[in-house]
Amino acid sequence: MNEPLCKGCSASVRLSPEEIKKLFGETLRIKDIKVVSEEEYHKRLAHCKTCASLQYGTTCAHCGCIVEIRAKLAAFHCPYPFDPKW
Amino acid sequence: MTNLYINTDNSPGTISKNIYGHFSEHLGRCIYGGIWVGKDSPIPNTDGIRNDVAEALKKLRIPVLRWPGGCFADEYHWMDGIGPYEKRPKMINTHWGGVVEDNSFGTHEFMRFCEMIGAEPYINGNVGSGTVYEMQQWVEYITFDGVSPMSELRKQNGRAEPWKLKFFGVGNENWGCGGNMRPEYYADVYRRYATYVRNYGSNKIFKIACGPSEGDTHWTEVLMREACKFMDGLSLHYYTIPTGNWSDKGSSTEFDEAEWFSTLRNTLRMDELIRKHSTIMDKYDPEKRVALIVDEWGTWYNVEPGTNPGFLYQQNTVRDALVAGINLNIFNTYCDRVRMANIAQLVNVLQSVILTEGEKMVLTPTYHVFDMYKDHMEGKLLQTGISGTAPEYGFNGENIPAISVSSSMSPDSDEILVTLCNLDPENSQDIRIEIRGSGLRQYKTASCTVLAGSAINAHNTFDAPDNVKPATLGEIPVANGILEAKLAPMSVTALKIK
Repeated sequence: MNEPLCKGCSASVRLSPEEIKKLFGETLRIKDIKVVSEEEYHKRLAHCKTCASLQYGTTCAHCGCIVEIRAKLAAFHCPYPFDPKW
Repeated sequence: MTNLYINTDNSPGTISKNIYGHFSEHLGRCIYGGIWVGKDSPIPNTDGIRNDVAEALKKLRIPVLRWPGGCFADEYHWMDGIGPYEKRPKMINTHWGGVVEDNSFGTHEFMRFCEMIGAEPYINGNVGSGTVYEMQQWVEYITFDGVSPMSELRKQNGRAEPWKLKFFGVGNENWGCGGNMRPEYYADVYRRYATYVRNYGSNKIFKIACGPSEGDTHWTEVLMREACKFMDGLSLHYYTIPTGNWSDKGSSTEFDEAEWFSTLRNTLRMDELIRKHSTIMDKYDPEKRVALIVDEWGTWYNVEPGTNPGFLYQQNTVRDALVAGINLNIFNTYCDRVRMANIAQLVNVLQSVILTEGEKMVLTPTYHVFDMYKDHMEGKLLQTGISGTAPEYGFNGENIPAISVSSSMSPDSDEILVTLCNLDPENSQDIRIEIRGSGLRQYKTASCTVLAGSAINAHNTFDAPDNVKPATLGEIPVANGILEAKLAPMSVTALKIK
């Protein structure tokens, strides 16, 4: 019999730049996805990088998204409660 | 036309309300963000707990809530989560990828949350990295009504009266993340720890031992043989994974009919697992004193694209509604042995009933299924079946049953609730239900509520929160105990016969 699976070891919240790049590529492959301009992207990211709700340097506490990916997507906005930054 | 019968003279038992239980773990945004936002949050809250989430959960009449894990339970040291917030230590939750746990949601906050939503607390203790003494003290802290170091500590922390605590789990997945134990070893460890999970005053604790993963019948055999008389419940964990491959489980929203089919086929395996483990339990416990507690179940997909993989955040479609409806029908059917189940997890993690983003909240199709099924709680299970050939749903040369059903009679009246799932995404099902039984009163009408999707991946979003929601289809006449209905493709239907 196989050893039972331990689900707790399935993933880490701490991500390397390479892992983020891979996830970024997977997200952008979703059909019909629209992205923002480079200027808008960097403006959005600047807010995220100084936000108190940024966890592990990568992740928004309010939506669980990797900010480098979410900020790129035109349909998304900042989820900060009642006071979106972008 | 499919002919179903409901025999009101033959009840295999009462459907425990605890089958409609839930599970909340310190994982991703389940506790932090989903339930707990803190007292200073701009999100409306009561004592730090989100009002919108608590209100929505209250409507489901959740009977029991499991906490703090899951895998996290075997790394949780409860004393870190009591006392002034500023003095609570921060820890690294290694089970879930190195999350920083600041312990702002601890015992008092959990018990307060249970009070707010009306649920019985089910606390899972730490065996993997905790001591017997620590577990004994936690139970004493929560339930002791008298003078003791732990009751004094509780009073210092603002709670004079003890709480009632009915359910306590002695370890979690101790075959894996909870210590990688063999069943022979864990059985003895369980006996030792459970000895010190004491009943103080009038509080009586229902002790739950770690049970098998999926089809591990050897674990069940050993636990029942060596520790049956020391336990009240034995847990079972089984997750539905579309692909059956843990490293690429499949998407929650982007899938074809092949994955629709495999998901439903895989979830139907719950029936087989319950039968297999129950057969072993019957050998050692023919009176069925020990309950089978399915305290982790539901779908598990790849995380939503762009979200942190360690947060286990996934969307929830009409396919999840079918998974919920099918499993709840199975649990109802085996209510003589299955007396609690806890879907994983409550908010923002795996098959949630609620998703949140900032101040926004959305109810998932799974939420609506729990709402449609809630009147089964404490109902008298009625023998229900199909006369003649049962319809099948086939795909790629493989067949599964097209209809899942269970029915119960209300404990307060003789109203009958029938819950039906049509697994076929293309074809509707015409059904005829005959209510049989001696001394039956005249049933006259049935109200019909349906949850269906416009596509196999129909789901609710923060921008379109009512895309999938139940529709009331009006009254269906009942004549001479017979009614007819049409089940929409890929739907969950609740008929309340009056």
